[in-house]
Formats: sequence, C-alpha cells, structure tokens
Amino acid sequence: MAPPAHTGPSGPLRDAAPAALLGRWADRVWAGTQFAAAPQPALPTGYPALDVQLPGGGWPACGLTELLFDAPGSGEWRLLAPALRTQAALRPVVCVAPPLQPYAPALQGLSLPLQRFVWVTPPDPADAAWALEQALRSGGIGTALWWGDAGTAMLRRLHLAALEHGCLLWVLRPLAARRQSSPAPLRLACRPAAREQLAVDVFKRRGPAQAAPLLLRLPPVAGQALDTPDHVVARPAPAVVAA
Amino acid sequence: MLWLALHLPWLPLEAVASGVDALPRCVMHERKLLLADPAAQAAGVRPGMSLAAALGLLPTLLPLNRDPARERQLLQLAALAASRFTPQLVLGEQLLQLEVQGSLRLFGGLPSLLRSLRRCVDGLGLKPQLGIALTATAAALLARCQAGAATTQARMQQRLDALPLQAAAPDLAGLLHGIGCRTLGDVRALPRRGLQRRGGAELLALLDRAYGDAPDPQTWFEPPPGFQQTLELMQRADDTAGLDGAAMLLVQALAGWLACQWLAAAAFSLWLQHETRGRRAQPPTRLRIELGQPSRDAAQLALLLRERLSRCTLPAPVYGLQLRLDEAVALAGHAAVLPFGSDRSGARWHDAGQDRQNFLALLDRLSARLGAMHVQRWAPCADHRPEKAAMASPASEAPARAVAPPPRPRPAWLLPEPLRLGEHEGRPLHGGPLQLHGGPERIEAGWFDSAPVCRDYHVATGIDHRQRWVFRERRGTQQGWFLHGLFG
Repeated sequence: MAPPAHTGPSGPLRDAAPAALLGRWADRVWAGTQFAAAPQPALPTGYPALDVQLPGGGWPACGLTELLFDAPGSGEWRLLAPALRTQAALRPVVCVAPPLQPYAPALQGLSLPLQRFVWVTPPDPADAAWALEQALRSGGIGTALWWGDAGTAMLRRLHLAALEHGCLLWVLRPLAARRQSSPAPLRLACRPAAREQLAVDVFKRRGPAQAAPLLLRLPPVAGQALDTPDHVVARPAPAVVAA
Repeated sequence: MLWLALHLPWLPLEAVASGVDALPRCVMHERKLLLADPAAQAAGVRPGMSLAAALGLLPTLLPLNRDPARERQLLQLAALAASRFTPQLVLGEQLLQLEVQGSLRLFGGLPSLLRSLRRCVDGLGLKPQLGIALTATAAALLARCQAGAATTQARMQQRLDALPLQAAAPDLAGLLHGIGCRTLGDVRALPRRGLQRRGGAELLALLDRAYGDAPDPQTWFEPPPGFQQTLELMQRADDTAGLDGAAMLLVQALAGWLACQWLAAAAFSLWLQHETRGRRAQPPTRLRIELGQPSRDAAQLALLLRERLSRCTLPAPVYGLQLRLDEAVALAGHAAVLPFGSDRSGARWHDAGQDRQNFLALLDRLSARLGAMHVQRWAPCADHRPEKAAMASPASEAPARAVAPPPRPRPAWLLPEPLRLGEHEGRPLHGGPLQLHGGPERIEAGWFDSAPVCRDYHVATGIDHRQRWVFRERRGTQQGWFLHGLFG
C-alpha cells in the first residue's frame, strides 16, 4: 500500500492517515471533526437539515437537551412537534411550568395527542424541579418539557434521572443562559428569523463546532406561507377583507 | 403449621410514652413499678419497686400511669397491620401470633417474610421479640424467652427443653425449684401423675400444647367489617410534624386491613380532632385523599398522606386522629411482569401495564402535593370563542372527548387576558409595528350568554419575527387592537 501523499492538514492525509496508522483501533479513536457515536438511536427531529447537524442524526433518545429561546412564541412548538408526536404515541408527556396557557386547539392542530399530555403548573416555582424529578423517576413517562431555569447542580441531577429512566428531557431556557455551563450534551440557541424561519445555533454538541447558525423553515402557521406582505389597515367596521 | 409469635415486652411503655422527651421513664401499675426503660434500668430501677424507692435511685425518673385500653388498641392496630402477612392471627397478652405456613410462598420464603414483617413492625414503632415454632404455644414461649426459631419437631423439643421454668409456670416455679427442676425438660421427666395430683395440671396441659402432644385450638382475630380507626395523640400537636408518627401507624393498619380484605383504597380521609369542649371547641378538620389508581401499598398511601399533611396548616392544636376508608375497590393483585431486559444500554422493553400504573401513581403524587388544579390536562371544546375553546380538567380524571380542530390558525400560547396594543397609522404596535397577514377571521359568537365576542382576528409578525395573534374589537366600549396569543 502506497503511503499517502503529504498535502497539508486539509488534504488526503487527514482522512486517510488515521485508518492506515491506527489499523484495527481506528474505530476506537475519535477525531475532533467527527460526531461522537450516539449510545442510543436518536429521535429524528422531523427537519432533515437539522438532523445532519445533530450527533446520531436527531434528538438524543434520553437525557437532557437544552433549547434556548428568548420568549414564548418563537417557534418552539413547531420545532418540537414532529418528535413530540412520535414520543407521545409511545408514553405520556409531562410539561412543567409552561409560561402561558397552552392553547389546546392549536396543539391539536399540530397533531399532538393532547390526552397524553399532562400540564403541571406548580404554584411555588421551587416545586417545579421537585415535580420534574418525580416525573422522571416514576418510570411512567417518556418525555418531559420544562420551561424554567435552574443551577448546574440541579440540571445535572435531572439529566442523570432522565438517563437512568430512559426519558427525554427538554429544558427551555432564556437565551441569557447560553453563557452558563450546563451538563446537557446538546444545547441549541434558537431565534425566529424572517419568513417563518428559525435560526438554530447548535453551540454545544458532541462533535465539531457548527460553522454558522442553520436557518430552518418552519411549517407556516396559516397553512400557507406568509411571504406576501399583506397590508391590512383599520377601517370602520364592518372591515373589508383584505386582498 | 408454622407460627410466628411477636412478644411485645415494651408495650405498656410504648402505649403511654411519646418518643420525643429523653428523660428515663417507667410505667406504674397499682402503685408498683411495672416496667422501666433501659435508661432507668441502668440506674438500678427494677420492676416491683415502689415509686419512692425508684425516685430515690433516679430523681429524674418520669412515672407514667399504665393505660390498658390504649395497649389493647395498639395491639389491635398492630394486628391489622400484620394482617397483610396472613389472615390467621391470634391476639394475646402483649402477644401477637401469626400462622404463616400458607404465606411463605407468596412472600418468597421465611427470611424474606421476616424482613417484611420487621419493616412493618418498625413502622408501627414497636420493638418485638420474635419466636418461631410449630405450635402457637411454643412460639409464644420462645418469643418470651428470646430463644429464637425452631422449624422442625426435634429442634423445637430441644429448644423447649432448655427453657427456664419461670417462663411457663411462674407460680409453680418455687416448688419445682425446690426439687431440683430448672428447665421445662426437667419437668417433663417427672412422673406425670404425681405432678398432676400436686397442682401441676395446668402446667402439664400447657406443655402438651407446646410440644404438640395435645390439640391447640385458637380464637382467631376478626378484623372489623369497615376501616375506621381512631388514635389519640400522646401529646397535643401544634404543627403537622407532630402528627407524622400516629398517621403512619394508622396507614400501616389500613394497608394491612385492605390486603386482608382483597381491597384497594380509592379514597380515604384523615380527620384531625381538635379540642371538643370549652370555649375553644373546634369541629374536626378533614383531609381527603383520592387516588387515581386505587392502591393498598403502605408506602404509596403514606407518601400521599405525608404530602397532603405537609400542605395543610392546622387551624387549632390536634389531640387525636381518625383514619376512615371512604371508597374501596376490589383488587386481586397485580399481574406479574416478566423480567425482560430493562438493562440500561440496550433497547428498553416497556411494559405498558406497569408504565400506566407508574404514571397514575405519579399523577396521584403530584396532585397530593401541588393540588389537583395544578396538575391538568387541556382539551379543546366546541366553542367559537377563543377563550372558551379550551378547557382544563384535573389529570386524574378521564381525558375529554376529542373535538375537530378549527380550520383557521390558532396560537399555541393564549394570553390569560387580551392585551391592549398601541396603534400607529391604523396598525397595531407590539415591540414595534406589526405586519398583518391574511385574514381577517371574523369571530362573532356568544350572543346567547353574557360573554359576547365580536372580533376580527389576524396573524401578525413583529420586527422580532415572532408571530402573534391579534384582533380588532368591533363593538363595545373598548374598540381597538388587542394581542391574544403567540404562535409557538
């Protein structure tokens, strides 16, 4: 076998050398440019463009995943809906401390089986972490969502509980939490962008750093794209239907 | 037959003494000292002393009066709690006897049964001495002398032969000691007829029953037909922490009673009894606990009761507790689950039935601590008005029937109250001007009740690219733009 030509760090050497040099240990060495092998099959996100950015090709099947959003209503439900549909069909979903009233007709419109969702709104915010841990450790649920914030120690505790019982835990935190360290193996910062898109920045993952935020096209809320600007102004009632 | 005997030597003390004060204590009966706790015994206080002599030895000694009624009640609660191990129980003087031959397989053998029994009795706050033998009388004798277990005839005979005479016949012991008998074996070696003539007939009958030479009929303990048990506290409780011990005792008894009757609790109440006489009379407080998934597991019931107790504030000091079973359903037991790989690495085998039970137990636990209105399910309703198109119900209830979703866009988050928006050149403002798309969707309903709605709804995008659900009020005093929801 001819030795590979030395053509610089980005040339064939980088790709060919490990296999040639390491021989049968090649599969045990992780290169910084590769994604870590997921211990469990991942859950497809429903967005192929996002799947290729995530280790294993989807959401981790268990453990903590952090999603940072600035405010409710940034596209979080449409981002999570495909995975939630799959998960809720298997086992119940517990949602802890939603920031506003979840609106059943809309969630039903996203084809989420609402009878499998339980909404926990603790009167005292300190009870939220307790309720979440009880839910994860109960062995009766498959997915938990939490709109809240907690210290690293509490997040690690919840992460371990989720790992141990095979639960998927999504914590939705404010964007300001990006600077804090977190035990979550996968962290995403999401911002709504023009034309019903979501700019997803996967700033922590078991793999190489992401070059630029990914623009995901979310399904339009109105059934059709809202691209065409549509000027509706207030007129005395009865209003005329805008063209 | 295999008999377990629990001898409760400390029962008179356990019935009257609360565990919180650290002073040495003793129980007085008919002006004589009946029983002293280990701290008092270490100072030389002995049963049979007068109180003056005992106080002379130990001035800090706290004398308590014996309460036979409460001892009987504690023993009955213990019997109820132990009913989960066998339906065949016998109550005696400071003694509880269980016939467990038929329960060994269910509880996975004698050692495992003993472990569960010990845990159960610890939960009651009792310290028993245990004896195991093939006859009830022998088990009681072994328990009283702390002589351990004997599960074969030969071993039982050997153990019984070695017991001191004092244990079986305290009144004859003096006479028999005089002729050189020290143990039960010595007595059995005496000529039977002579002993019978000299007043030993009762002792001989007892020995025959113990050794299995004579039948040993028992009066079985009959559990009450319904569960309603009252326990007076040994000292008044000003906060819920003081109720914990007594409440757990009642819960253990309830769990045992349910197991014995093949029932599971669906709802039960704890009544807190306050001062009933005088100016500060107060009706009892009721704490009702409902279970989504009926259960007879003592740990689960205790957990729910603890959560409920920790949430409640006492209106007045509590003097007594009463636990009542309100609703029960028949429950034969849980189907066994095959132990398929629940290993951590590979794919998990989900058992749907077990999952569902865990989930219902979780809902009970969350509702008990947070309140049923904070653990909900949302379901759409058939109403055109957005505020009334969704309804929350406690999660422990059955989910509502599905309704077809509206064909027009609806926001994932609804504001509790529509938020009035500013207006600039006929356009609504929310963190900058909003751009409207499509619409309007006119909703005009509710003329038939007191909350009529007459609005034009639009989807609007702000400069932060978030989509909002806004409407323009068309009638009424508050005309203008309002924000009603956010698209998630």
